[in-house]
Amino acid sequence: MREKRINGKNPQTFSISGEELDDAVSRAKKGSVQAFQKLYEHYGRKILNYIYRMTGSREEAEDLTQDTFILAYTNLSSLKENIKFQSWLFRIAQNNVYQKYRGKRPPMDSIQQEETPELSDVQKLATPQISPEDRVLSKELEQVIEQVISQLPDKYKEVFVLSAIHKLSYKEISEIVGRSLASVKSDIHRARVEVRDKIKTYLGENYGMSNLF
Amino acid sequence: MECQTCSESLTAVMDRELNGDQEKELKTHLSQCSQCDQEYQSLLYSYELIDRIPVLELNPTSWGKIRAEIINLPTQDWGWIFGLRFFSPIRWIPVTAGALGLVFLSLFFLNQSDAEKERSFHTFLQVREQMELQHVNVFDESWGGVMEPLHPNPFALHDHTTQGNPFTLE
Ligand SMILES: [Zn+2]
Repeated sequence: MREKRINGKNPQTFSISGEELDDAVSRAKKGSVQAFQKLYEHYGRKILNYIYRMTGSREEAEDLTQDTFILAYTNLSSLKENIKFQSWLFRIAQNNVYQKYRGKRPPMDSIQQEETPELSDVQKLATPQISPEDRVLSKELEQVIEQVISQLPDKYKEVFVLSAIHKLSYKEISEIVGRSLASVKSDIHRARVEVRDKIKTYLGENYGMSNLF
Repeated sequence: MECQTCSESLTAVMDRELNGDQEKELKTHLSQCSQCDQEYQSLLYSYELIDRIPVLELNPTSWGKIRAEIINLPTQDWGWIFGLRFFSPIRWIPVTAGALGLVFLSLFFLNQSDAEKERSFHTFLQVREQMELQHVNVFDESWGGVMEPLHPNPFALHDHTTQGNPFTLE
C-alpha cells in the first residue's frame, strides 16, 4: 500500500508534552509495555520515515524500525534524561541503518520503483481545480524530489531528513549525528541548496509556479 | 549585513534557528536587497515542495511484532541493581577464597610449638636438598637425557677444559 499523503506537514503524530513523555519513559523503564506502546505510537512513524529515507526500502524500514524499538526497550535503563528519548531513539535508528549497510550504500531502488497509485475519490474531490496534466506532473514531481533526496551523500542526507522531513532542531540533530552545531547548520544549508538546485533544474521555468501543488 | 552572510543564513531563518535580533537583521537586509530576497523566495518554494512529499504510515501489524518480542523480557528498571553490582557476591568470590586460604595457612603455622616449627623447617630444608640432588645427579633413561643442575655454575664450562686468562696477552 502506498504511503498516505499528508499535506503541509511531514511525519506528524499526536502531540506529547514533556511531562507525558517523561512519565511514559519512566513507566516503560519499569517494564510497562503499555507506556512503551504510547512511545511507539508517537515516534514509530518518525523512525519509520527516517529509516525509509535513509535506506530507500519500505520493507527494510519496517524491519529496522521494529529492531530500533526492541533495542530501545531493552536498553531503556541506559537513557539518563527521559526528555531526550527522541534524539536517543533516532541515534539507535541511525546506528541500525549504518550497521546494516556498513561499508556499502543502502539500495536506493524502492523509492523510484513504487507504482504511482490512482487518486482516491476523496482526493479527486478535494482537488477539483487541478487538471489531469498537472496531477501527473505533481506525482512525477514527488518522485523527482524523493529521488533527489535519496541521492544526497549520506552526511547531508541524514541531517537533511532530520531537519526538512522531521523538523528537528539543529541542536537535537547535532546530538543525533554527533557533529557540531556549526557543521550541522552548514550541512543542512548545503543540502537544502543542492536539493533546490536539482528540483529547479528539473522544473525549469515551472519552478516557483503555485499550480504544482 | 553582507549578502554572503545573508545567503548562508537563509536556511537557518526558515528553520527558525536564528534569534530575534539575527532574524530582524536578516529580514531588514532582504527588504533592501532584491538578489537575496530572490534567493530567499526560491529556497522557500523548495521548502513548500518538500513539505508535500508523502510519508509512510506505520504497518498496523508492526506493534504486535514488537510487543511479542518485548513482552517476555524481564522488567527494565535494573538501574538501582547496577549500582549494587560492586557488592555482588559473585564479584567477591575469588577475593574471599584467597583471603580465607591465607587465614588457614597462618593458623596452621601459628598453632605449632617452637620445636615443631624448627622440625618443620628442618624437614623442609632436607626435602629441598634431596630434590636439588635428584635434579643434579639423576640420569633418567626413560626421559632420554641428563638433566641440567637446578642452579648451574655460570662460570663453569661444560667440557671442563682449562681456559686461559682472557685479559693477559699470550
Ligand atoms: Zn543581499
